[in-house]
Amino acid sequence: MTTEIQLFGAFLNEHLDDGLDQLVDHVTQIGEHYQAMPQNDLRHALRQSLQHIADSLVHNDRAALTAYTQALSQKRAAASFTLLEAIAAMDLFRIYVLDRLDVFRQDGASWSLAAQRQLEDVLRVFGNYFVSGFDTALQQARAELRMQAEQLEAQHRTIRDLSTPILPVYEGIIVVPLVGLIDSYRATQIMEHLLQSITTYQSDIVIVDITGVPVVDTNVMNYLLQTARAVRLVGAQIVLVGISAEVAQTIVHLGADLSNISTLANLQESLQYALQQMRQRMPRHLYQSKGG
Amino acid sequence: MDSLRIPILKIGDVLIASIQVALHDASAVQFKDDLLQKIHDTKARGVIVDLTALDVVDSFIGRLIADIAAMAGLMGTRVVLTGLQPAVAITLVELGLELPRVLTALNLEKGLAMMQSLTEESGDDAS
Repeated sequence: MTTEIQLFGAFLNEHLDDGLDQLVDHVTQIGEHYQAMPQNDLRHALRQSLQHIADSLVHNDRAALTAYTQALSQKRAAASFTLLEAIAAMDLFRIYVLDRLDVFRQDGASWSLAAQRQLEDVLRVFGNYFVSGFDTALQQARAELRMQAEQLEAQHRTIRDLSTPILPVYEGIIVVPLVGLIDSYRATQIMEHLLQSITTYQSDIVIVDITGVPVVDTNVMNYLLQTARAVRLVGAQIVLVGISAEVAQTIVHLGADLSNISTLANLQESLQYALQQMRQRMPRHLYQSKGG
Repeated sequence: MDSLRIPILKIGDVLIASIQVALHDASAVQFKDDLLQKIHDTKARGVIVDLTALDVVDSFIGRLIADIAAMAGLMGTRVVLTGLQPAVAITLVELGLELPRVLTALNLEKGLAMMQSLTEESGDDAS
């Protein structure tokens, strides 16, 4: 026996084009994405959705409807339709179906509360699946963001490693050519990495070349001086190289005590100085075994 | 607590102390007293304090080390700190304790060599 809901489904299928143009008009006004759609495409899509709902009512089957709606939803989400646009479209669609129901009942068809609930149920399922694609799109976006954050972190690590190049040029001597801007974060990195290297290489002399640091203001100078003090405490000697006239002024203005820091004009001079220092200490080292 | 006393050894006229355990307040003060007393008793020319085993310091220990260095210096003794760990060095610098009159060396070996050359330079040896 054909039920009320099946009869309505058949009715929908027979009158798919009634009032469809009006619906297309209303949907177009929802937002920019629906507006940008070619009217024929939108008309076709709405007609298809109606057909699927009608079929679902006639055959009492949800599978085809949910599959179709899910695919449609993903398509809309991928095309950057907003969730609000989708919800608005859903609302208009629902009103349209209820309008069709009015016409169906005017012709004298019976309609029970049970049938009404069944119809609402199908519309609800359609609505839920129509927004599901947006949730999927959101999850995907979040996953992409996480990946990007990881990539960024990996790049940061590379920058960190590159930012404090330690060159063990000779036994007991390391050269640290600093290049690029130094902020407080990098300054801490430099200090920790440098101190660790001194302990690892057991270097007596550390030559820090700041020629490649474009801006050496009082902040940067303070970081460098902190590092120099820490290097001395660990037991190594620090030689600062590459101080320009401007930087020299900064140091003097800071009134910093440089009694424990040697400064030289350039890398060559500092290497010569360092080798000389090592030679002076060598006699004692000659009789000692290598390694700490 | 006698069991926590830090041993102070003597080689020639140089005293050597190696901090092996985390210094608690009481034992730290005890060490300071012991060291200064020993310097006085032995008339040591130099003191080497090896801090290789010290992983971390707080402001109390930091100031104590600075005090020991200053006091020993006042008594005419050279002080060399050896084996300071990076983390400890950073803490001391952040605390503003630079220990300017204290000499430093990477390890005990180099500390001894440094002390040796200093004593030879000043010709203090009565020989």
